[in-house]
Amino acid sequence: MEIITHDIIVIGAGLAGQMAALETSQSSDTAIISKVHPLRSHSGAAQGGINAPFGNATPDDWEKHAFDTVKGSDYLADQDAVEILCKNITSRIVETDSFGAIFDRMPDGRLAQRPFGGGSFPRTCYAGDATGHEILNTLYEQFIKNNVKVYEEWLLTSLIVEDNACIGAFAINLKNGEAAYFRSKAVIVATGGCGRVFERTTNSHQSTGDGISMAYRAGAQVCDMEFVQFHPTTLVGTNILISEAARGEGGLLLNGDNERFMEKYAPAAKELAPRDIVVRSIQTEVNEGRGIGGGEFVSLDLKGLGRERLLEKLPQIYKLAKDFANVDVAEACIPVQPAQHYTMGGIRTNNRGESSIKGLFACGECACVSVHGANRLGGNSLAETLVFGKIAGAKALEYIRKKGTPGILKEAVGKEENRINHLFRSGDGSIAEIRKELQKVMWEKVGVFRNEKDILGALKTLRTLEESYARAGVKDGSRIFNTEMMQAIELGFMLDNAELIAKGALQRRESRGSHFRTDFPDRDDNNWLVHTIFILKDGKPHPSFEPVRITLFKPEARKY
Amino acid sequence: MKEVKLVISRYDPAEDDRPHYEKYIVPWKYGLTVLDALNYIKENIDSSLSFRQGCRSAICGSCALRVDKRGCLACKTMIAEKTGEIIIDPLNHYKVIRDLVVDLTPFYERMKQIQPYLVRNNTVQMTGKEMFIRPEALAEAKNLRDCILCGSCHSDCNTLDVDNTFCGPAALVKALRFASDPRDENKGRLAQAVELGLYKCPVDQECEFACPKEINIRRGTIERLRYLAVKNELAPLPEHKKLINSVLSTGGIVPVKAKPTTEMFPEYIKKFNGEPQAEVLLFLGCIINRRKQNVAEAIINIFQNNHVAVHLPGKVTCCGSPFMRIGQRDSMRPFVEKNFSIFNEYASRGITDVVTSCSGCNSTFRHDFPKLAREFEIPLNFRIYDVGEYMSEKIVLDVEGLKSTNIRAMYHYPCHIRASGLAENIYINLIQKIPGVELVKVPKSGYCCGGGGGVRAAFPDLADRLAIRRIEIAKESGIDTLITNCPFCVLSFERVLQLKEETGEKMEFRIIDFYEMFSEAYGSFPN
Repeated sequence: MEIITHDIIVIGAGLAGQMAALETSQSSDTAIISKVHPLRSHSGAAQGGINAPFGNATPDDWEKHAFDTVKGSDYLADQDAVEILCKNITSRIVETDSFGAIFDRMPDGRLAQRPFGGGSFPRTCYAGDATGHEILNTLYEQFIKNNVKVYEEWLLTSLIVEDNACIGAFAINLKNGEAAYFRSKAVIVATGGCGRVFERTTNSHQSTGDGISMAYRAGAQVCDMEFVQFHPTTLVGTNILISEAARGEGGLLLNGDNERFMEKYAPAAKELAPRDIVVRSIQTEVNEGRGIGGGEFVSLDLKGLGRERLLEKLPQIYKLAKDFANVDVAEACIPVQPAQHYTMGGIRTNNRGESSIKGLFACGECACVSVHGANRLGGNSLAETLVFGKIAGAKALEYIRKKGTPGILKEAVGKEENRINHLFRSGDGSIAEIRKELQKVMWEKVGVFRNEKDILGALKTLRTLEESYARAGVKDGSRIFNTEMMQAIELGFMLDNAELIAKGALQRRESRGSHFRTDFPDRDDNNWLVHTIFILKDGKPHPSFEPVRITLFKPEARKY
Repeated sequence: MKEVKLVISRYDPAEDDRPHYEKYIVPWKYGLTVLDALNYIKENIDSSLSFRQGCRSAICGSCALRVDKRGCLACKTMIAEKTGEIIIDPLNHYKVIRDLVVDLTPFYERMKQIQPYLVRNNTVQMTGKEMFIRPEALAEAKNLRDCILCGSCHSDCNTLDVDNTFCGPAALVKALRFASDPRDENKGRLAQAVELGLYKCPVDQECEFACPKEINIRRGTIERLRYLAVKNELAPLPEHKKLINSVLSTGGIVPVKAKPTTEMFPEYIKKFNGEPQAEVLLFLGCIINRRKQNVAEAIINIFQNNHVAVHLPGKVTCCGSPFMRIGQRDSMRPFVEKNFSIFNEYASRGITDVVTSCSGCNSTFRHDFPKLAREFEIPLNFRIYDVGEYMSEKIVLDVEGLKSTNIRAMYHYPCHIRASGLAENIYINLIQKIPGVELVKVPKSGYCCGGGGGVRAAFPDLADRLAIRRIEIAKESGIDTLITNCPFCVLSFERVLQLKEETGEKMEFRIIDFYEMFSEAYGSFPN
């Protein structure tokens, strides 16, 4: 097996990974490894915007941003981490702006800001409704400028850990199927979320929780996996995202009786309540038979904005609705339904991006710092990638200063080769079938509304699927761009993520943010103002708890 | 159950010498995309089918491939209910890694040639305050940022078919995106764009038709960059200067060698008896007027046969297209003023239908003139039509009078016709009205004759290679006759056929002018 050596490897080339690599590549030999070309990363699909307390629309400061974030998180966010986010994000946006990102601006030249769910007033900077695309392209332009080394279309298969220190990773070059041993002093994981675990998701096919699973298998702490964000407005059937910006710009939600039902659930914020609340409101309407025509969806009405404003402010939504739902949004409503959107939990890190394993860092959606707690506010995910991507990069640089090039863990090589080769055995059952069943059970039993019976049922199915997975084999024997092999490896990662989500959901006997237990419908601060931690022990997730760091705002009832 | 058949190019370099097609049947349902169909095959029929996919919402650009030979995103391409069979190929102009997966490295590398990042010499202070930039200063750059670098444009680019030194459409979009950004301090961008092939594009718009993000590549990017190049005295190229000098001294891009049509006919042509079914102003354009008198006569004959009275004003001038195409927008005023004042004058007498015989003039009048006319405050009291469009849509065409002929051919759809928004079917349907003409379906419309965008003047070899390539593509389908209706196309093809004959490599091939064919089918009037 080829051995490739770099000081730092960054896994994943979305915004967090790129930000981290830009930071480390200035003064270390950094390589970024990604299973897709950096520009195909799912960060590019972020639409609505990025929150920052510039105060251009309404006077603002980091504390107000922090309060909205903490309240939005249902008080599960670590408040010192939120403080770092809110104090640093304006500088990160100014930096991105100076790299050439084209944010929308006010007539006087300052950055424009739009309202978003859970924000007290307009705080979301944006580039039309393709903000992620704009920032992703801008950072990648800096990659080209700075000649950052990229291994694109290399699939990471596992992390290499010795004496609780991460010293590299195994990866397969998809183009020729050859595996390599990446040796490094530090590894930064930035692989995004695990949305594909659910049948209905806005996430890309590549969002399979690879990094979370790899870190978990390597012995790292994984945190708050039961907190899965569902997005209120996705196209029926395809579950393509319709940005919250649509509601920020004035879009209304209507049920089958043509009633603006959000008035019932969040009398003040209405459509701009946080996502968890809007999702449950929609799902309640649907479950009680008030979907459109009694179906599993409601209407998003953007007609009031008028064609000109729609084309100016929401051009992508305009096209998505036309191309994928055959709806002219200036004339008709968009049929929408909730779908999985974001993974709040992930690899547990401290405020410097360090995981519980030395030399292993995490940032972005795969990490749990935690700035989002039980429910992330729209516009805070891009903010997190930039702020904590940079911080993780800086900390990794500091970490490697004292480190020499690590040795090669020889016994790991054979083990990894066997593991990959084993995938090609002639097994029975299909990878695609197992994946479909997994997605279905997670959506139906560990979705928007949860209860003990359903979750136990899901866990039972997951065990069966694990067994099927152990028997299934990759039928495609070619080693060249073998996407079936890639999907098989990803399915292994997805099964881990699913188990962590279900186990977290089972043990948390309360309802908080995105996690709603119909059998425990209230928030329980006395018992559950804690993070769920899992580590792998004897082949099983071993639970523990960690108190939430409350430094700024005392938990109070959450009303919108 | 409704079904659709996909014919997919399969290739595994470890197993196969070359790609081959395999057929798959997929159940059809409303909303089925090509990507859905590929996933259906992978999950249910053959798990080894290799393709890229990502967001499935046309934002990540992973799933670019060709459907029926045209670049597109699989996720955004819906399969219509009545689709019998569709052909799926990997993108063109790249090495195939496996099946539908190509190596896009050359595409990304080409992009790097234009310094695809903001160049700023001063560093910004991280004060927590953004730069103040008025939105209008970023408006142009903002319009170009939709590019997702999927590579579809590069795949369908005609120029890249014959000249791989051309930087390609996406790189030019990126170049303009930065050149129009007030924050960018690279003053060499326009010179670089010219260097990397800005003038090698025949403005055929294939890239724009392929672009899944609907980026305005031709007028909004290529011609805009050319305009900026002229403003910055980096253009016109020497060969283009000759061309425009010809226009300025003679009123057309081709010199007068024989008597122009406008001097052969009276101003008003009505050889038939009784009331005309329509009355038109015929704008011939310099090539047809000066070089292709027989085409002009054919058009007049077609109109006479159909009882359409023709006005043929002699004082019209060049449509200005050569100026627009090479970036001299600022020289357009006299052409707009002169031509449109004549059109308006006829309109005041009730002749409001202006029909052009040259598709280049048509496209210029339709797209460029209205904007310019608004700027110069010239009214537009008339409507512009193409002759074929007029035949198809504005008059009752005499079909009975069309005599049978024996032609087996392929229709070459000119880019200027397409740029005017006129569907290929208008012309195909017209041709099929002539008894005995067998039209062979094209593998893909949009192949280039090399005659547009000033390429023929500045890069004659490139133009010739494009024309030869077009003929070869027809020959690959077993066709040795092309019918077309743009004088640029006809001249380009005739030129290379003659060149080939002179060098002893005669290509057995025939170019038929659409109007001449029609006119012959009617016979001369009065018959």
